[in-house]
Amino acid sequence: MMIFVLSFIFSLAFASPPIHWSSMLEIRERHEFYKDNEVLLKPKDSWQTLFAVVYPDRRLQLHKDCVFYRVPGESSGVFKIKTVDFDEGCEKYQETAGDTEIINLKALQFSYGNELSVNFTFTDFRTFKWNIPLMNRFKSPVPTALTSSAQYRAPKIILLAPERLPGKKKQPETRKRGELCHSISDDCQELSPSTCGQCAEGWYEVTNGCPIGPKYCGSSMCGLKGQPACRRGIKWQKVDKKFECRIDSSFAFCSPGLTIQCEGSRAFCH
Amino acid sequence: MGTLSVVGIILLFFRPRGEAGKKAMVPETREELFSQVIAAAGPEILKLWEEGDRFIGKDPPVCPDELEFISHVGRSYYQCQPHFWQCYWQGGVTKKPEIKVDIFGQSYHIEARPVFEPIKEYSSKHRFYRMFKRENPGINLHYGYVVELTVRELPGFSQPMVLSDSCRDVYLPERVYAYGHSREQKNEGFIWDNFDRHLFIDKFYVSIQQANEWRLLTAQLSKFIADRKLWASPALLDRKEQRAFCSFLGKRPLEATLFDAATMPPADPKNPLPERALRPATPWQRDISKTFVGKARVNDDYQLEPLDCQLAQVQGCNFKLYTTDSTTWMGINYALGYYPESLVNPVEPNKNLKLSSRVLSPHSEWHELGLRGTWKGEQAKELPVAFRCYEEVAP
Repeated sequence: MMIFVLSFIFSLAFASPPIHWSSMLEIRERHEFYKDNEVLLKPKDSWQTLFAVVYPDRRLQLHKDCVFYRVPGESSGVFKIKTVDFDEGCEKYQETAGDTEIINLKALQFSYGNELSVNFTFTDFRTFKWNIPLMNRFKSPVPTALTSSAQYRAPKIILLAPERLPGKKKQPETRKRGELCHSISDDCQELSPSTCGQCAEGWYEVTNGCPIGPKYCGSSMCGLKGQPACRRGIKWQKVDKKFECRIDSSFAFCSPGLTIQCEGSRAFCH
Repeated sequence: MGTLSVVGIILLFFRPRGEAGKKAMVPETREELFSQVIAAAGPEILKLWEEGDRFIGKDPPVCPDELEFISHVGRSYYQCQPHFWQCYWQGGVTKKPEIKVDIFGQSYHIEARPVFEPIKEYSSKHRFYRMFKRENPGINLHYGYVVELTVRELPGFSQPMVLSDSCRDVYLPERVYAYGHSREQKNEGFIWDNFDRHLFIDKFYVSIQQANEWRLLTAQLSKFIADRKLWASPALLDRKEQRAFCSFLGKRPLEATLFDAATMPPADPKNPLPERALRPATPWQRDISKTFVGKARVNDDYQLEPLDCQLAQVQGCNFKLYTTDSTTWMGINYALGYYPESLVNPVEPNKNLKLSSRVLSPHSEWHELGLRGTWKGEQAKELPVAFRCYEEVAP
């Protein structure tokens, strides 16, 4: 009974996990070398960035908590959380004071799977564990019959941080009309990954005979005069990577009366 | 024997227990308990949001500010319907609105909070939700609804969350499709495919209620339609506005090729690469002469039966919206009949209007898939034109 009462008192003495971490969208800047559940022992007496938690608040503005650990050596360990601007790196805050600090640590372990777990061991051998369910964690499903676009894009419920967090500097914006959001070369090489999901008003493709063509933010009525030609499908795609749109443009189509004009491998209707 | 029993009892004590055998530990802090209760309530919250219609009993809900319950509006209208969410939490559906969750051997009661500013076009009451249009790339949804929930037994905490509109559209499977009308094409006709493309088509026409939301978010209040009786009806927008509406939601106005793909059932849904893509004349039956529209063509005295009107609402049928009686093979509605529907047609730009509709008699030859007329892009009283959007989700 006595042990129960004592452990209850100890547990109250420790910090609760940040409630808004349940609203986490993603983990960034995860430590390169530390493995899940590894006891963090090296390099002694140094500050290490463990990970950063990115989460939306109730105004849908993004925030970022950098999580640091001073590995115990001559001094005891310190676990530190610092809220920074969404687009800032954590590195420069390693040495500055945290918004939350848990001191007198002897050891620390963390893991990131279906939940985020942090295991604290204090110098007096008391232990404490945070288990934070990650309800916003999401992997796009393979769409099947009756799947909706919302289901395909995101969890059906997305938790937001409950606190009214102070407005940070300018938030990153969605991508505007006309911006190239998926760069694909004429010889079908992906030059940069797609960011078309961030386009404010959707996106359109300029078909070039590749399995995936270059895309731009905004809308376009493919097949009409002056617009990109419409993609016809994989059956008509070029198999050979070195192809000539001017010789065979059957991978695309235009409205009747218009002809396909090629700009490199890109097909437009004129 | 006695020694064996003692050893047996000891072994029994240390036996491995399955997950079911473990008793969930009550979290040590109220914050964690609150998070766990909200997490456990997820399925019930979604049920209320996505299947609001199931909460409607014999007596229609009473929410004159939010919804006009009309017999000709089908129950699909109340799914992912923010006005139903408002009505429910205002007490218009049940006297004591709550979501009950049993966890850790106790019952908890979830309640929504009216913490959002009133929208005077709707009512003077505080809202239980707010609609948003995404302005930064954090959440991978173009739009959605923010709500805020509390747990009655755990005062002092609240959980804001986004509910996504998971009811609006449906996936078009990846396969080879045919476009157009069978009689017009002597050869194979226009064939295309959507492999490696993720296309989602609205199940119903864009409604006045949805257009109102768009107008509120884009400050076009002069065109806001206040009459709640009309909210489930199709939004009658000009072509330019249709494009602006779809684009605002990251979508595009529906194309004729996609409409045909979504309404013409494939001969073998399991074979995405058939040698020949068929063009059935109706969503229900390849041979039109066996359908009521085919029979009505050759029989001037044909009398409509109730089942006919469930398949396609043509002239003479009772007016009904949001019906799922004639859902197509992949899940959209209103394939034939109902309203004339505007379509973008990159293959034949002038054939941009599905003419089969409730203004044409069952004898009309326009009641056939792949047949289209021309729409100049402006609404007229004698020919109200509905529309819907589709979304291609980026890889």
